[in-house]
Amino acid sequence: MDQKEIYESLEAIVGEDDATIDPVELLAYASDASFLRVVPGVVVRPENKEEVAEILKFANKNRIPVTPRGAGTSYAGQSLGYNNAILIDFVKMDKILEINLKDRVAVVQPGVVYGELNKELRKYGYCFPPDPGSAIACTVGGMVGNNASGVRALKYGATIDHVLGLEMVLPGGKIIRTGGRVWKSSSGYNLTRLLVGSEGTLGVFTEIILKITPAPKYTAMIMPIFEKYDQGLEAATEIINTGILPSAMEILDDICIMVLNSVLKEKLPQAGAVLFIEVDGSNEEAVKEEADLVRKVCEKIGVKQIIYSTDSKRTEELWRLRHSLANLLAKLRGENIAINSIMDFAVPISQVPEAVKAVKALAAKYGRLMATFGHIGDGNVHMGSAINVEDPAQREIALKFSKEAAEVIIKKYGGTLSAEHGVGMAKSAFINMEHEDTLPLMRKIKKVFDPQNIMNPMVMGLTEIPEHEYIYMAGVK
Amino acid sequence: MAVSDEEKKKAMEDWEKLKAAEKNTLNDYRTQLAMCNICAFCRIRCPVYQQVKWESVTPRGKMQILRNIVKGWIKPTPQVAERIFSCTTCQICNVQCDAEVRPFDILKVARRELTGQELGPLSAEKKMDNRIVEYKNPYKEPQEDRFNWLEVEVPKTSDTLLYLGCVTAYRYGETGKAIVELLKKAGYNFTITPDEGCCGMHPYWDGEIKLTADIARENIEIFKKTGAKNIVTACAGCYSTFKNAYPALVDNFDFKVMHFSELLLDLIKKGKLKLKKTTPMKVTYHDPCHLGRHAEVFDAPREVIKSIPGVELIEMEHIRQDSNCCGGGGGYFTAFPENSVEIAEKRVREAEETGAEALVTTCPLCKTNLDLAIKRLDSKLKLYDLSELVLEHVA
Repeated sequence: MDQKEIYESLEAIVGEDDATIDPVELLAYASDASFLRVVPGVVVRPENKEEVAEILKFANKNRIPVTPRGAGTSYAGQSLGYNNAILIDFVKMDKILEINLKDRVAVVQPGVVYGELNKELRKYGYCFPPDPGSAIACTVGGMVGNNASGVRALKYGATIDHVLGLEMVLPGGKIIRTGGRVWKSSSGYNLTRLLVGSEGTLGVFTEIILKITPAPKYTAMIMPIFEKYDQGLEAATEIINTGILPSAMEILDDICIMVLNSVLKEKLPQAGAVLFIEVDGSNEEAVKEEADLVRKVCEKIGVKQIIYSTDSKRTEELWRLRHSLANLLAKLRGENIAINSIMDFAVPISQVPEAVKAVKALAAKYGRLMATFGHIGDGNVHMGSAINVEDPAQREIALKFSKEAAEVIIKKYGGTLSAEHGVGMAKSAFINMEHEDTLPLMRKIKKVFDPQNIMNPMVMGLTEIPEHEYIYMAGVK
Repeated sequence: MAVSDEEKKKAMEDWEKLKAAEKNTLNDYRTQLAMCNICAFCRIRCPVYQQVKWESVTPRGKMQILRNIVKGWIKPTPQVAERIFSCTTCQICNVQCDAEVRPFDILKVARRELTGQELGPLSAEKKMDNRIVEYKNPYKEPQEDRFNWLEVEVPKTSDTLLYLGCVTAYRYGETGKAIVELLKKAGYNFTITPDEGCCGMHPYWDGEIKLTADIARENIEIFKKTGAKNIVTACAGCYSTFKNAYPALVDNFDFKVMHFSELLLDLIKKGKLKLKKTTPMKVTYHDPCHLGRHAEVFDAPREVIKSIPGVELIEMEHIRQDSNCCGGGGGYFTAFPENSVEIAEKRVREAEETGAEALVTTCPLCKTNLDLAIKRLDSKLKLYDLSELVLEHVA
């Protein structure tokens, strides 16, 4: 079938206002927040699960690839429509269907924006806590597809820890339900947990049941600034060793401080590291005690300055600053494009200091611009680099660097390629390094759900492993 | 590739220099276009996207399209122009963009370039620009009817020119009357010129730069004849045109520009206007984008409202830099009237949520769109221009 025929079939399902093959529109859908650019074949905006089922039935019958897409904020190319795929935009399935305080669940459609859901939940004193950097824009469907998390995963876990049940359309159009409203179940395989983080490779979510968490009554933000980066790492380790569990613990290096200062009226002192540490709870005194303990640890290590806030508005502003960091770093890369291949690794908490040093050393060897920041408390570190993606020589170096870094992270430090951004297309070339034993099993699982291999087939290395340079700008020119 | 600390610092300095550099063409913005992180922070607040819900009208989508044009990978087409002109010029994308790409600044230049290549503006907008050229107003109204509502004499010359603007003059005579009456009550000396014509805002945002500059030059000559040194505008759009566009387009624009809300606050503070308490009233205030984000006049209208005894200002959720657009700006109302009013309906609902009885604004363009939305929603909100609210409370 050619593109026009596919379009006409889909138009018959969703209506002419909700399907497009307009080249300008397709170009606008050719990006996510990764370095990859892939023009989809058709974009559709279904309004309900029945339409989704019809789309998948048609795609399956005609073996046309399908990619579900939330807000397109993914960092690894998992929401792009490779190989003239049908891209399903969930913008019209964005309803909060139910907030049930008695069951402590929220039932939502996949296109609900995370920030909007939390705004609604907070009215009732609850929240859905993972808090990714893209919180204000990303969708819950994208978070579930990706098993996203963020600054508060340290205490409250990742998305997977909050998903109780799913409604999903299988490639042939069959609608299934996994899990439910129960908070616990030992009954059968936990397919819900399999599907969370499956990056659209097994089917398409149409409804998500989340458990909701009481929002903390009191929080304290402690931002210690250290002369040396190593002191920041040491402080993080020592804080964990005290036995308290902060709701968040982030580390930013000197480059990040420089970039933050470009937008701050009250500048931070230029230093080696700043930590964003948050403690929370329902008892004000207990929160203050924990905050004091954090301060004492930092003072013992030789902190340069501590910014402290218990004011919720001020704390929110400080977190907004942290969330803006990934975007602010664009100022350092100019026309170069950020490479996300090893941007999102995690290692066992005890290994963080050494792993960070090792990757930094590799970055220096390959001449990569490196800013380091991330969720130091749970071992998840972001390291940013950028290249001119139009230069084959730089792409080659980036690939070498990414590969060596992945080896070090996985083999030497027992880490994972992706703590929260997903594998997507960006990291699929390295997945076998991490899942040598289990990748064949994962591929079999994929086949059970999706025998025709239509569901986001180019991600996670489950079928084909695309070369980065082939994907970049594929179809755009 | 920067790797040492010095190189990273230099990269930062280079960015600061680039940010400050004058940029007049899309090509001048090639770095910013590449810097768009596609994070969707702009999309979440873009009023047009929130209505249309297609990626190509989001600021980030437009950045990708324009980058492809700058790189020579695609050619600009009427389809591209339709997306670029799908914008209310509300400028919230600049506020939302942490990377300081400033998408709105880029879109402004893109409009000019597309218009320069005869791909823009959109046909309805072009028709309006033609009407402005022919009639000096967008409504095809005769010049002699412009101030039909004006019932009092004003001096022919004065230090201050009251510039009403086309929307107030032809569609909101009651606002014009209120402004004139307030100034008279305050004993403030001002003039109105019978030659007043369009400020050029519409062609300016259509990328018709030469036309806008011609209008500016013609207007400057008209203003000079009044002997005025100050211009007070009744409209946020005219205000931002005089304040921002004219100085950039012509050399000899030497007038001090004020919005009426600023003058009103000054008159109240100086005791020239005494306000009295009437029936207690709760109101909320809508920041016009062209007075707020474009010109950073946020406080004066609020201070005026707060100075009225018995009137309580209850703020909406999104205000000041974070304010939501009414949907009417940048020619969007002209080209996409239905979407435009639907955006206004959202703002009206936001106003209703405050529990206020009245919605106050300081721009007749916003008032037009909000008025349509109020009627369509059958809302109980009473709609005021700030001047009308103040007039109701003048002792």
